[in-house]
Amino acid sequence: MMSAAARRAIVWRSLFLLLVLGALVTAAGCTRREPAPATAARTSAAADTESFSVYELPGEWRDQSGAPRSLASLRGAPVLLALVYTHCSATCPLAVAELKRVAAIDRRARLVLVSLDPERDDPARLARYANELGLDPARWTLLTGSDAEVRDLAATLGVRFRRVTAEDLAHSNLVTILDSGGRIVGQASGRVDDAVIAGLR
Amino acid sequence: MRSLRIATLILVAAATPASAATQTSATTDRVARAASGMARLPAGSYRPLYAPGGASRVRVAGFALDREPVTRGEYLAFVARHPEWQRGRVRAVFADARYLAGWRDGLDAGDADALRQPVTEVSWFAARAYCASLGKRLPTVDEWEYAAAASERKADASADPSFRARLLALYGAMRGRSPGTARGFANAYGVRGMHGVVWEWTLDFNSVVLDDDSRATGSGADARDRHLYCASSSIGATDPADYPAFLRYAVRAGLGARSTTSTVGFRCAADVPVS
Repeated sequence: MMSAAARRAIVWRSLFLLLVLGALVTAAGCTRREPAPATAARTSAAADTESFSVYELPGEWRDQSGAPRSLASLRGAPVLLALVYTHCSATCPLAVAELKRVAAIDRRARLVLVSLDPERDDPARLARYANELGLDPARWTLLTGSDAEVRDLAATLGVRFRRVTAEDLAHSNLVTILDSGGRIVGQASGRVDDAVIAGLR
Repeated sequence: MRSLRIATLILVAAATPASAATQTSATTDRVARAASGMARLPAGSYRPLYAPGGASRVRVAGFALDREPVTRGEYLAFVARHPEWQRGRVRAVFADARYLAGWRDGLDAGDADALRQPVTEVSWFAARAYCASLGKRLPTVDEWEYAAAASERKADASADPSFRARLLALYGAMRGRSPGTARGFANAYGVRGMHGVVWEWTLDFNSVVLDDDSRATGSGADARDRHLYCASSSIGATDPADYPAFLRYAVRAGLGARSTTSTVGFRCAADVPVS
């Protein structure tokens, strides 16, 4: 049988653990959802603000025409980039719609969609997808690479993803804004801030 | 001091591949040698904190795992062979500015005590490159958690309240400190220091999707509503009382691929042939 003192000790220990856990969950999850610090918190957890270029990542990708492309070939203009997959019906169309919206405001920006599902998204599939959505190949680049290349890019951008079923992936719905040298100037979960778009010019 | 430098030279010399011609067989041999010192973990299953597709246990195939975290001395031998991973030379996209910041110099990782400590201040890219240089790889989250569920005697002690309490005490004692020479306990697989020594990189550390588009926990308005609540990340958890697992997932969630901190190190894994 447990003594009263032992029982009290267990209760106090449990309370302490709950406090610690509460603080952690708040730190890990909750602060990221508040509007103002959201960008900052995500930026530090994902792609920090130090100067580095995403285009330093090695690897050979293929675009929707089947041509080999390096990320460095995107140099020269601001880029809005999202990781999506063409069989995705929930949030990916929202990300594409957001890129379209920004494309209409800023005529200089290039729009890049990178597939999280390289097995099914071959160049032909990407070309069909671009055609269906009316994505002008002069401005839109759709890329597919190896699993390792996708993982490296996603990890660099702070995009989290995991295959849930054979058909579906769970993933962060994140639009990344790169300057003409490939440095991250902003990230948005949903709508890209007007100030960021203005800053691209 | 001099003996240290000599020790370093020996380490470097021992790790230098003989010639390009014998590279392939040398690599195979090296993998075999490396794996021979590793712990063999049998196929099994564990209960992940966030279960994909609602499965409460996840199967893990047999694999090999380093018995201890990679040390500064071992990492020093690696950067000596691969100058592109030395402090000051590493590409900015692969590691942030604190990479190996605690070292005296690009090829001076500190005194004999320091060389025996687990290496920290290394990014995910760097940890991956180290393992690849030995024909190994980083363990997946599933593999790491499966190995970490073991106590000294039991292969899966993750549901044992006293084991959980002990892990929390070990994590609490870390308090953001750099690792010392404490090596932690060796578990039933012969794997040491999984808890309370350093946090460790995993291959797919960015595979836990707690927000945004999570099909596993529903989508649309239902999912959005869930995200209005502060502790929503605990709602999908298989066992909300597994606080040590929450801590580990919280640490992973705070990391980016370039992140280097004084508390995050790594160990390598390897596939084993199916017998």
